[in-house]
Amino acid sequence: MTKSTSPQHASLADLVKGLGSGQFSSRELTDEYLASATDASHLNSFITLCPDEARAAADKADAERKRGAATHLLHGLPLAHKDIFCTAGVRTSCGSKMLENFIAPYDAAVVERLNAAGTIMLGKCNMDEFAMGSSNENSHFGPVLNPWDNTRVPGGSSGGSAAAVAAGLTPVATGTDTGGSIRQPASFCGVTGIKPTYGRVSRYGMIAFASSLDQGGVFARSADDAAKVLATMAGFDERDSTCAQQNTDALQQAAQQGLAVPKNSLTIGLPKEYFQDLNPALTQRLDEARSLLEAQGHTVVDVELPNTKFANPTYYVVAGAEASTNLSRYDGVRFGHRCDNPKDLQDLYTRSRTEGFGAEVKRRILTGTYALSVGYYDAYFLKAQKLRRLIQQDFLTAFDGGVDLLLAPVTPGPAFQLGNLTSDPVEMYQQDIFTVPASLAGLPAASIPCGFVDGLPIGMQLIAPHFEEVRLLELAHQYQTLTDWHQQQPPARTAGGNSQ
Amino acid sequence: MSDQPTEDLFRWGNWEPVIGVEVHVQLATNSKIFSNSPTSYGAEPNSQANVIDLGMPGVLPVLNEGAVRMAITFGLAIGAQLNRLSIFDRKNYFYPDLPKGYQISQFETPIVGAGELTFSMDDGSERTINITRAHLEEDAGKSVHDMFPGSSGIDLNRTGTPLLEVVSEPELCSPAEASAYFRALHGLVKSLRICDGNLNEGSMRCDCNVSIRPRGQQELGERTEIKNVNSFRFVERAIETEIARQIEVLEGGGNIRRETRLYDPDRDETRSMRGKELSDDYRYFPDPDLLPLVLDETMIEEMRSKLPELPIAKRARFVTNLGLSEYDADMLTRDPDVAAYFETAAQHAGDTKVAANWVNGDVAAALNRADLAVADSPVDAITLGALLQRISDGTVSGKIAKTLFEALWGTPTRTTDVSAALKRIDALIDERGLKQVSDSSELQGLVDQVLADNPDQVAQFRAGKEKVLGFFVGQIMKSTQGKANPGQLNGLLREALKP
Amino acid sequence: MSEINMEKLTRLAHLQLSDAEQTAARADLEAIIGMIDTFNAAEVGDTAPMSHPLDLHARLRADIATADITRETYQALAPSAENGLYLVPQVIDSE
Repeated sequence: MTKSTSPQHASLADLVKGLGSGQFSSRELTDEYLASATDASHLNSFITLCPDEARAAADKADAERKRGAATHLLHGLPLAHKDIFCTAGVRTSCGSKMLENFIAPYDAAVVERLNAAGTIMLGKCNMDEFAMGSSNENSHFGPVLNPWDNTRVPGGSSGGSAAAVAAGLTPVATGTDTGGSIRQPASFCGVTGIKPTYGRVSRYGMIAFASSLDQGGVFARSADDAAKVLATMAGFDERDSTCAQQNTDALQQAAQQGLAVPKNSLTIGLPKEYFQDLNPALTQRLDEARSLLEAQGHTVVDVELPNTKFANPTYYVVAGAEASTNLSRYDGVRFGHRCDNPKDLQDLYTRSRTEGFGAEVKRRILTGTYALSVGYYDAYFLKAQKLRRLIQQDFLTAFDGGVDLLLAPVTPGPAFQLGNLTSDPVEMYQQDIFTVPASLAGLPAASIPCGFVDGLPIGMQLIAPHFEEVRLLELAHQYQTLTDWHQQQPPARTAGGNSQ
Repeated sequence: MSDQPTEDLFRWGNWEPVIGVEVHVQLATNSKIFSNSPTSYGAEPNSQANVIDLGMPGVLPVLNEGAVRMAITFGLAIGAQLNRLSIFDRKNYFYPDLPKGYQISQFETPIVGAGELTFSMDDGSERTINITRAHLEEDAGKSVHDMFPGSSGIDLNRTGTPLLEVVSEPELCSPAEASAYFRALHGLVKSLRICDGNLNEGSMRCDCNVSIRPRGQQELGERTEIKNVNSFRFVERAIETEIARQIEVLEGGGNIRRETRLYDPDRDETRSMRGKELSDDYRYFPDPDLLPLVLDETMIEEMRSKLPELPIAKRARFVTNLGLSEYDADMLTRDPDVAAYFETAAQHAGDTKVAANWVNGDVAAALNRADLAVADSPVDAITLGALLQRISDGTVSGKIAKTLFEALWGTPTRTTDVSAALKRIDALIDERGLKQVSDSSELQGLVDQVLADNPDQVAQFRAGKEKVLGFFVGQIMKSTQGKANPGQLNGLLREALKP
Repeated sequence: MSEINMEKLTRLAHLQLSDAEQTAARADLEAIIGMIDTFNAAEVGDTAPMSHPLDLHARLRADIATADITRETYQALAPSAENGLYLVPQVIDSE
C-alpha cells in the first residue's frame, strides 16, 4: 500500500469501510499495525505488545465477519490500551515495578466493552508510573519518545497511547486523564484526545490514581474517530459507584452516523486567565482557530474563571491525598512486588513499597499523606475541597451565562526536551495548569490539533458542560473539516532522536 | 422496680470507674457491605474473598442495600436520629488483615445518630444508657498464627462483612452494668434479626473503654481500650480486672498509658497489645470511590412498619397480659429465641406461669449443662408445651413431668404438631406406667389404708399437728411411686382426718 | 508551611529513604508545599467542601451474593501463599 492509502493513517470510518468491503481483513490490518509497532520500538510506546493474542483475535473477528456476526461498528478494528486498564491474561503494569508481573484475573469495564464490540488489542501502552507525570519519564519501563522529535517527551501520563496513535502504530488508543493525562500528550503528539465527563466511563478495573478525578478517554486521529470509540466505552456500570446513569444516545448516534457539525451557532468562551502571559506563538495559533470558528458563525466572548490560579495547588492536594491511600494496597502481600527476605512485617511493607515505587509516586504519596495528616487536614485537604467547589462554580457560572463551550490552551507550550524538567517537580507540575481546572470540575475536555509551534504540534483545548461531549466533538469535527492539522504525520524517524 | 442499683459501687474505695463500650455488630446480610461475596462463617480460608475484598488494583466498592436497611432498623429501634445524609470515610493504617491499607468506615457523619437503650440489671433495677451513634463499616480479615513457623497466614473471608459499630456514652458505672448493656444490645439486634448473635463466632465483639477517677472528680482519667471481648461474662471480668489494674497502677504512683489491651480469660488479666500498629494518625477523609448515602423516606417508613416487637415491649406484655413476674418476664425476653420458645410452649401448656417456670428453670438448666442454644434444644417448644399440658390436665404431676422431660431430652425430635407431641408423651406415660392416680375410689383406698396403718400420726394430727399431713402424703406417694394426684390426695386426707 | 516531619510521613506511608534521599525528598516536598501554599491567598469562606465533581448520591446494590471466586487464580498472584492462606512474617499479638 502506498503511504496515502495506508490504513495506518486512515480514519476509523475508512477502516470500517475497508473491513466491510473486504478490501483488507482484520488480520491484515492487525499484522500491519504490529509490524509498524515493532519497527517503531525505539519510541517505546508499548510496555507489552501482544502479537499472538492480537492475531488470534483478528482471525476470530474475520471468521465472525464471514458468518455475518460482525454487528458492532468497531468489529475487527485493532487498538491499544493504556497499561492502566486491567486486561485478563495480559500483564497490567501501570508503568510500575510494583506491578511488573501483575496479570489481572479480570478485564476493566472499558476493556470488556471494547472486547465485546470485537476490537483487537494490539498491546498495552507505556505511561508514567500510576499515571503520575506529565512527560512519560516516570515509567519503570523507560521514557516514550515523541514521534515528532525523538529528543522530546510525548507528554504524560498517557504518553505511550498518544505517541502510538501519532506514529500510526494503532488507529486509536485508550487513555486516562486525572489532571490532563490525555489532553497534554494529545497536544504534544498532535492527535485528538478527549477526556469525557467524570462518571461517563466506568472506572472499574482502571487502576486508581485519584478516584474523584480519574476518567478514561480516548486518543484518535480525529474527533469523529474519537466519538466512535467513546460511544462504546461510555455508559453506566453498576460496579462503579461513581459512574453516572446518563444516557449515551447522542453519542451512539454520532458514532453510527458520523459526527455532524453544530446545528446552531455556538457561544465560545475564552477564559482570559488562560491567556495571560501565554507563549506568543501558541496565542497566535489559538487566535487563528478562534477566527476560523467565528467565520463559521460562532460567537466568541471573553469569560472570567477567577479561581483558575488556585487550580494547580488544589489539584496537587486532592490528587495527592487520594493517591496516597489508593496506593496503600500495594503492600507485597496479595499481589505485586515483594522484597526479598523481609525480617518482619514492617520491613515487608516498607521495603516492598520502597523498591516497588518510583520517585514521583513516592513524592505524591508523601504530599498526600502530609495534606491529610493531623494538624494539616483543614489547611490543605479541606481547603482544597472548598476551592475545588469554587473552581467548578466558575465554570458553571460561565456556562449558565450562555457560554456553550470554552476554548483555551492545553499546555503552556509544545513538547519539551527529555530530561529538561525531571529535576524540578514543581516546574513539571506547571505543565498541568491549563488542564487541571476542568478535571477538578469533572468537565469533558479535549485537545484538538491546531497547528505547530517551533515545528512541533500543539493542541487547543475545548471544554464543555457536564455530559455535553457531543457538542464538544461536533465543534471539533467542524474545525477538522476546515483544517488538516489533525492529519499531519510525524516523520518516520527523526534525526535528533535515534533510539537511545 | 427500683432504679437504685443494689450492686456495691463503693467496693473500689475512693475510685470511680467510667466505662463506655463500642460493640461491633456483624450484620446478617447475604453479601458483603461493598462486594457481592457471601458472608457465611467457617468457609475454607480465602474462599469467600473476591477481587474487591482482596483490594485488587482497579476494583471498586458498591454499597449493599441490605446493610443500610439493617442500620435503619437498628436506629429506629433505639429511637435514634437517622442521618438523612451520611458519608463513608477511609481510615488509613497498614495491617495484614486490612487488604486495602484502609478501612471504609463512617467517621464524622454516621448513619445512626444519638439514641438510647433501656434494660434491666439482674437485681431488677432498670437502666437507660445513651447511645452516641452507630455507623456502618467493613470488617477486617483474620490472621492465623500457629500454622507456619515464623509466618502468619492471612484469611480474608471475613473482610468486608458489614459491621454496625454501636458506641455508648461513657456512662456505664460498673462491670456488671457494661455486661448487662452488652447483653441487652445482643437481645435487641437478635430480635431485630439484623445479627445472628453468635458470640463464639465473633458476630458481636465488644471494645471496652475503661478509666478510673477519684470519686467526685469531674475530669476523666486516662483510658485504656480492651479490644474484642466476645462474651457477657468476659466483658464483666475484663473490666473488673482492668479497673483493679488501674487502681494498682495509680495507687502505686504510676500513670495509665492510653493503649489498646487484650483480655486473656485463662489468666483473667488484660495485657498491652504491642504488635498492633497503633497509628496516631488515621488520616480519615471521605472515600472518593463512594458517594454520600442519602436515606430514602419510603425506605425508612418501610423499615419502621416491619419493626418486630422490641424486647422491652415484649417484657411489658409478658407482665401485663400473661401475668408473669418482672423477673420471669425479664429472663424470658433477654434472648428472642428464648421468648419465642416460651411463647410457643405457653400456648399449649395451659398455664403461662408454669411454662415460664419451666423455661427459666429446668429447660435453661438443661441447656446450660449441655451448652446448647435454645434453638437447638432437644425438647422443642411444642413438645414442652404438650408435656406441660399433661400437668395442667392432671395426667401427671410436676415431679413426674421432670422424669418425662429427661426421657424426651434423650431422644431429640422436632415437631410442629402438638397432637403428635401429646401422642408421644402419652405413649411414654403408658410405657413407663407414670399415669397419675386420680381415681377417687383408688385413692380413697390408699388413704384409708395409710390412716389405719398409722394411728399414732392420726392422733397427732387431730391434736393439732398439721405438719403430719405431709407424712401421710409422703407415704402414699412412696407406695404409688409419685403417681397419686397430689391435689386430690390432699383433699381426701383432710376429709378422712376430720375428727 | 510548618516543619515537614519526614520521619512521620515516611512511617505513615511505609516508605524508606536513605539520608541523601530524605534530604532531596524534603527539598522537593518543601517546594511542592510552597507551591500549594499559594492557595492561601484564596478566600473560601463557608463554601461547602466538594469531594466529588457530580452531585450524586450512593446507588445501592441488592443484597445478593453472586461473586465468582477462584481462590487459586487469585493466590497465583501472591508472592507467598500456602494452604489457601496469604503468608506474611509473623504478626505479633493480633486478636
